[in-house]
Amino acid sequence: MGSRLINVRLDEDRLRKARRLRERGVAVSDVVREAIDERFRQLEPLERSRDVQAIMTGLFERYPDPPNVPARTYNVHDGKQARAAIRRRLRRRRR
Amino acid sequence: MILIDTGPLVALCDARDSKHKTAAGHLQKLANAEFAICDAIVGEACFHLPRRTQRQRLQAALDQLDVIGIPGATDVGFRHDVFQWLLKYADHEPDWADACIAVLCGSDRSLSVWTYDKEFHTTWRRPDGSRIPLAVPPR
Repeated sequence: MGSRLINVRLDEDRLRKARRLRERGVAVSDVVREAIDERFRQLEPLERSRDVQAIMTGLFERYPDPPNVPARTYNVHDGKQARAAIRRRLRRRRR
Repeated sequence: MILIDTGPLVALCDARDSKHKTAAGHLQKLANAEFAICDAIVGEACFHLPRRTQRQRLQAALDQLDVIGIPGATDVGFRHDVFQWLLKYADHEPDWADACIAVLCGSDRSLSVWTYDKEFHTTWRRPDGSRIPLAVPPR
């Protein structure tokens, strides 16, 4: 999984705590990751409420299909057709 | 938490997909949900969304819906469980992604699946044989 480096400013008190944790073998980066996961879990559903209509509209406004793009020739939701399409594509790649 | 399968993901990102409106409607109903995904699903979705703008929409959708990657889906134990599940259902020729979803639902009981694949309703089960919870009712 890819990751990005983020910098976190700490005051003296937290720096002291971070050093103590590190001395005890605790990776501060793990502490930050766990804290982010925990806070994310605590988000109230209402806070997570999304304007999905705006998200969907925005996706197609920002990344519109160019004109004359051919439609897919198979039904993704038909397992057999979808698998056959993937196999065809893999065969084309091997040539 | 809701694990998004390939079908809804592709349908959301392709306005000409036969289930685009259905998926957008389901997304509206699931607006407050927390979404997750595994790499196998993203890989499949990219097969079905080969064009630049489709993949840009896919990436943006995953970002804007705060879809998280399921951790632990790459370790050896998980891989063994997935192969075991594939062998169990070999007669039905499931995909790797189907198996990943079933195994993940077995290890995290809070997961439900947003899928348009009827086999998750009719055939596939968690590794312990129990039903896989579905986030939207099967049609």
